[in-house]
Amino acid sequence: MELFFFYYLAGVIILTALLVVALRNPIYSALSLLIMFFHVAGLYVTLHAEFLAAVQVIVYAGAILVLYLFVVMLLNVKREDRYHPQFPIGAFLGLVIITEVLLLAFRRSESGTPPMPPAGSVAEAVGNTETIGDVLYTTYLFPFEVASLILLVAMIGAIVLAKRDLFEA
Amino acid sequence: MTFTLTLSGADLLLLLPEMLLTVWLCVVLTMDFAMPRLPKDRLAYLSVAGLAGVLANLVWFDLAGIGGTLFAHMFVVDRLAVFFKIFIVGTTILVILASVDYVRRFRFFKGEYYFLVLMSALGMMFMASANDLLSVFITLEFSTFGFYVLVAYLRDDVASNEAGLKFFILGVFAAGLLAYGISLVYGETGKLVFSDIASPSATPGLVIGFLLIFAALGFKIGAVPFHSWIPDTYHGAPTPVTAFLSIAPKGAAFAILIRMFFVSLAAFKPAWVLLLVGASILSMTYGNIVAIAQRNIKRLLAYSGIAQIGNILIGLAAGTKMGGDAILFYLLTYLFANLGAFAIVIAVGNLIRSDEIEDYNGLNRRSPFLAFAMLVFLLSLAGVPPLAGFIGKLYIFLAAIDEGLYTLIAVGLINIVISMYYYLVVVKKMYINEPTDPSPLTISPPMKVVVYAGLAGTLFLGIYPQPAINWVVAATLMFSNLAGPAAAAPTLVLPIGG
Amino acid sequence: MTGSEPLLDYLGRYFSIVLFIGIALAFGVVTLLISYLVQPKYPEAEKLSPYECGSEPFSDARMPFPVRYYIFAMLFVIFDIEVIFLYPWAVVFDKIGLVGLVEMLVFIGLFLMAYVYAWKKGALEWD
Repeated sequence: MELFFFYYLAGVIILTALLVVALRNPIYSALSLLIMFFHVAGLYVTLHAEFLAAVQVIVYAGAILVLYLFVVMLLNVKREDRYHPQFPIGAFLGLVIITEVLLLAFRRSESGTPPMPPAGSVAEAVGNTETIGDVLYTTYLFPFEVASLILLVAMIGAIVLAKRDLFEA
Repeated sequence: MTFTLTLSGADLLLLLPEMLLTVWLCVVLTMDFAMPRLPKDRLAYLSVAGLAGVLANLVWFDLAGIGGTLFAHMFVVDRLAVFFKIFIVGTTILVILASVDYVRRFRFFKGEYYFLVLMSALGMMFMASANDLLSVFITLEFSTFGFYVLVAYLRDDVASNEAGLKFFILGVFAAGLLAYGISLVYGETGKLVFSDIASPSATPGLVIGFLLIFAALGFKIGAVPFHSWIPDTYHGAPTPVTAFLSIAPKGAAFAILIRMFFVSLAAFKPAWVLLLVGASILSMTYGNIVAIAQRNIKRLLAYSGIAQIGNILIGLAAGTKMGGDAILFYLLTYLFANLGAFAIVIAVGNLIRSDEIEDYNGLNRRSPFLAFAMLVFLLSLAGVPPLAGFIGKLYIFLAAIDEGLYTLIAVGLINIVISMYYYLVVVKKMYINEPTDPSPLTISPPMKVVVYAGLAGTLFLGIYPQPAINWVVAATLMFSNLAGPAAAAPTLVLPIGG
Repeated sequence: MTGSEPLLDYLGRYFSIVLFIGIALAFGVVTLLISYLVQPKYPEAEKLSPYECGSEPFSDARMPFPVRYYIFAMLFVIFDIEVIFLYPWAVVFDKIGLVGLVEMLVFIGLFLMAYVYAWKKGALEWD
């Protein structure tokens, strides 16, 4: 039964991801991306990471996709009627990478169980949010503070690059 | 279950340089928007003052031997990290001084320029201390974001926008490769810290993961075949940003590369030596040959930078402690020579508004000081004794000879000859050709400081390199147990005055 | 993070959300479907021509998109991420004590600075 959920979610993710790059109208691509984000959130739910699922929907589908759509509308991107001229090279590279991924997957299943990160140390009863909070503000404090600096520079950078220059001498 | 965080005073002391710089850049930003009437040069000098304080702090760390690890080995302060932080802070100070005139020409957003330079410097300081793959990723991205904005800073200039766009797209692609590589390595080993991921068996996942991480770091340093962003980005970006971009991120990325190759991958040395030999030969040859055809001085210095990275990769390919020392010393010589050359380019560009080599004709007539300084810097980049570049190249080749990389050294020597050609072409134009407009050129005091600092560094490191050599040897002391010939501190016997 | 309870029981807790999504989708689809099936279909050329107050439409409906929408969306993303970080902090606040408070104050302090910067530089002005 779990497999059913996984295959449904994974299948839709792959399908919509292909649609994002294959559809001609950029707004349709953005909408396929939206469906993909929701199914990735579903995948997180099956992995018992409900906080990540919520973050996925709120941040990705709610903010980043909005940014994509704004950029599409800002640049007035029209329908593409033919594929990019470098499509053959891209297809070749894509085949190489898929072969590598399949090799990795099947090699894994032959050689037995891979080294898993130590799992049992997390009590299931507390749920994903509290677990993430426990780790993020103690062990991973350094990336957390650097993340705030990244967001600061992103904000200043966005204003510097996009703001109309009406002021300042 | 709760994890506890214990941060004692001694732990916080390790973070002191970064905390100082963070507070200082907040001060700079606040002064920028709180006092709009303030002349923005003051912000430049304020930033330099703050950076000088951070530099003093770092020198104290180095002399007092303060070190340690924080956050479960994610953040490490050892002499290698302190060396690279001093390198980065020194570069930033000189770049800000060199930018003062250039920024005066901006119509708006002058203060944010200094803020973004300080932010990138902070990110690179974090990179020098990163000891696990998560920190590598987050600090690498942090430092690059500042540069994305800085490269595209001239909003009215098409070249700057194009440079920013190309740099950004290739940069985030490299970030994607880095994330993919890190996830593969984590999937194979279950750990992220550099010393923990040194696993004895080379499964395909691990190999591909490390190759992808190397690809992303190779993008940052500009090694062939990951160099395609360099010429256009260096050409289009504002020249002080190009100067900063050509030195500091390369240093910070080498900190990570040294840690990764010497600690995590120490067991697979024969395999990655081949990889690095290939990258080095390609970088040197490609950089030098294409540089010959350049008409624009910024593109020339871009390709020469690719070739110099090829030289530094020889030291990484040697894989010994001496190779590590040679890399650090070469980076120091590269810092002074490249920054000096770019300072001259900025100065001449400010005055005659052009970066074509043709406009350097007869620079000797117009400003003997600038022409002489440019001569010194270009000869140092070429590796002519008694300048710093010669000692740097000698040190790298000695490290490679000890490891028996004779082909690499042969290619390196041929490339030195090739590179002399395009450096000397510029020198010839400056001294022998007639200028189109013989009016004299003068430069402002901050720029003079930078040029004098470059000259002093280049000459001092070339004539009396021993203190610097002692410093880099002490910085890599932790790698003394690497496989290789005895890592005794070399006192170079100089052909002159030795 | 494999759970101690069977997957179906865990997912069963999300059943109400699935039901909700299903009803929302069904609501839209069923009304459109029923109206499509029930409507009379007598197309004529006059009825099928575009309605544009008497004249034919001569270009698409796109106009130059003001960049300030993009700036606001960007600022929204950044502050949204700040809130995302605040949420797990609030959940574990009692366990991480004073140190946790200080680190979150540093985090919010940097955002506060970014906000004041945006405010003073006029990035929050609408026109």
